Amino acid sequence: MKDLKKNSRLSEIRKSIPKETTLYVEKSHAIADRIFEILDKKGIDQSDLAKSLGKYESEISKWLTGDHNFTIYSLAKMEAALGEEIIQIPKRSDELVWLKCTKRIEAFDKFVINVLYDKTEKKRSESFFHNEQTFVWYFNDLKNAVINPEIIPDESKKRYLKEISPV
Amino acid sequence: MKRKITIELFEEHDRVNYYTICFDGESSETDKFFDLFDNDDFSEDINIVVSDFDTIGNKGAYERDFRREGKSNDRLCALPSNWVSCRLRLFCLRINEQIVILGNGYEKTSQTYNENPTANYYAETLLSVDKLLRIKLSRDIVQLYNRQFYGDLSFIIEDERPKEK
Repeated sequence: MKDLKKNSRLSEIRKSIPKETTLYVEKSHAIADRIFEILDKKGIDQSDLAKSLGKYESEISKWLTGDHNFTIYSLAKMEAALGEEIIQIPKRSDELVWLKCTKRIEAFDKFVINVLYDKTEKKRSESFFHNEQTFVWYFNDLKNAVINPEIIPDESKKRYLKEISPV
Repeated sequence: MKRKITIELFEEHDRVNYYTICFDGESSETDKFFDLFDNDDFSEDINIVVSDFDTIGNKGAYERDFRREGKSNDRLCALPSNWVSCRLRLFCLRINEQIVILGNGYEKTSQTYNENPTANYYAETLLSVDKLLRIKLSRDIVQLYNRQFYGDLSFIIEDERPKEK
């Protein structure tokens, strides 16, 4: 693939652009793109949005043509009116770990209820060995996913122990 | 005074090719813009303009991103995009999602560019090029394919440069 032509002066300027400027421009575009994506997906036009926000269409036109500096409040109003998130904040790492554990607990529960305690003898006899292996796999996986004393808060560990103890 | 002006490739990006206009024997109009504003007073604004080039270059030149500067029936607009604050305006013609022709620009101090004779001249120059480009495109003297122009990209326009004070 051939190299894309670049202007030498702009290449020099690029070397000294602070990271925050690049992020400012990229994030501003990303927010605008996200708003237009939701409007497009939901088939909402400017006048619908104005109605749901209780504003004049001319004001919403300014919002959608960039003549408005969004604040967290105006973005929140927009999110409420559109029924979708415009900006997503990454979850805290301990919350993520807990979410991962919860999902595994759910999968484990489902497995135990649906397969191991299946009352159909036919199914049990056909797949008992396989199910037993899967049980061990699920159980170990669950154990490994949870045991991380560095980032899992004690409260979450207690919740985990409480949740798996009946099993 | 009638003068020859040519459309030349300025920069290529993943999704957009930026062209510029260049009077015979002179540097391009966009280079002149950077000659004037790439200094300590405008470094933050120039950084925003260049970052905006790159962002649009990587995602495509959507109509909504460009500031409308001209009338409803022409293609005159300006960068940086609508979504960022900047004191500078660089005139351009958004041909489609893949091609943008850059001109010269100015520091925005008035409500409309017409109030500033130099800005008005830069805008009129681009509009003259656009008018002749449309004719050449319609007669197949110039073709568009992907992100490229093909054919004769030189034009003779009336150059009514305002007198320097």
